[in-house]
Amino acid sequence: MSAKLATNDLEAFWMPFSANREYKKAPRLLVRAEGTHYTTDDGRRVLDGTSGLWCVSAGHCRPKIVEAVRKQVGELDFAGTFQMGHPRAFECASQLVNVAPPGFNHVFFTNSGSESVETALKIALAYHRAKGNASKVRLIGRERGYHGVNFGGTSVGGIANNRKWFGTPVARRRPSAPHPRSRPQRLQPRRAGARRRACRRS
Amino acid sequence: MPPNPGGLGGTYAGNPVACAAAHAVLDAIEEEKLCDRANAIGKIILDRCNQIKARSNLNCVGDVRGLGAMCAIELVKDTASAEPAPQLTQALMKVANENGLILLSCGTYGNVIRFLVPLTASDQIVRDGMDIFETSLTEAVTRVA
Repeated sequence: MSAKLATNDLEAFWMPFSANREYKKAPRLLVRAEGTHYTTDDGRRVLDGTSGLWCVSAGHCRPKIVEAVRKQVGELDFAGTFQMGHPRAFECASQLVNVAPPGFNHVFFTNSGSESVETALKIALAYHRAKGNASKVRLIGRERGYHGVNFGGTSVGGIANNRKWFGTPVARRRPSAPHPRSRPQRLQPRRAGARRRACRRS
Repeated sequence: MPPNPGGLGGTYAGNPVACAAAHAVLDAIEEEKLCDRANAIGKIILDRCNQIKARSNLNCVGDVRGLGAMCAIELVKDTASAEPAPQLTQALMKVANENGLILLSCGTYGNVIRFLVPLTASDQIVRDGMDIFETSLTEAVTRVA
């Protein structure tokens, strides 16, 4: 595929978290990566100060990692984990548990942070139900908090722009707690009391 | 956070490795005409399921249905009552697995087997699979009875 794209070629992809029209007027394309740098479609080498949206902390296109991916895709490209299993999932979970702090003994795999949050919210609800507290269903999110983009995560999220188009997707379960760096007047007794009352009403 | 118009996101959405994989899969579907192949495979499976349903000594097949290569066969306690047979379905999955065929159950009452073999399967492979299915169903009926 050629690195240079005509404007029309950009149309089909609805880009996440992006001002699509603005972007497509003046597209910025990354076409290669190596170690700590990207190369743009016009040949500039740019330093990646974001670890590729936080996904590539060990560096881009490292031969050892590329080889591990290549080997796995050629050996066992997919196998489900419902009732059946495959060794890599168990190995990976054990490796994570080994490096995690004490008390983290199990791994539940998901495909994204949003999916992780949805699952964590469900586990919390199921936990209290199993303990006999089925009515304990209220979830607390923080002002300005980000918990992903799915229904549960949006419901406990506190970024106005991520919420305002969707109402309150999951039943009203979200009294908001103040952001830890809110201005001090937020923590004055009168305001805190008003907030507690607001939480009880919700 | 960068500006987030619309609040629709996904960090891994459209990542290069996933897109390369998807692109190659779509190419394979197009080049090998796998959509046509899906219809052909579906016909083999549905025909065979209907033959199994017509067997006079096997009174346990309810509805047989499918779209493209995804086909389903419903298992019932007997065709007259059409009462769901989830136990038979579980037994069938176990026997089939022992005989070298992975199956998946589904359905509101857990009494349906759904088929979706890779669309690259030859007619012969699909027939072999359906042979295992039929043998395993016969065996499962005996085990559950």
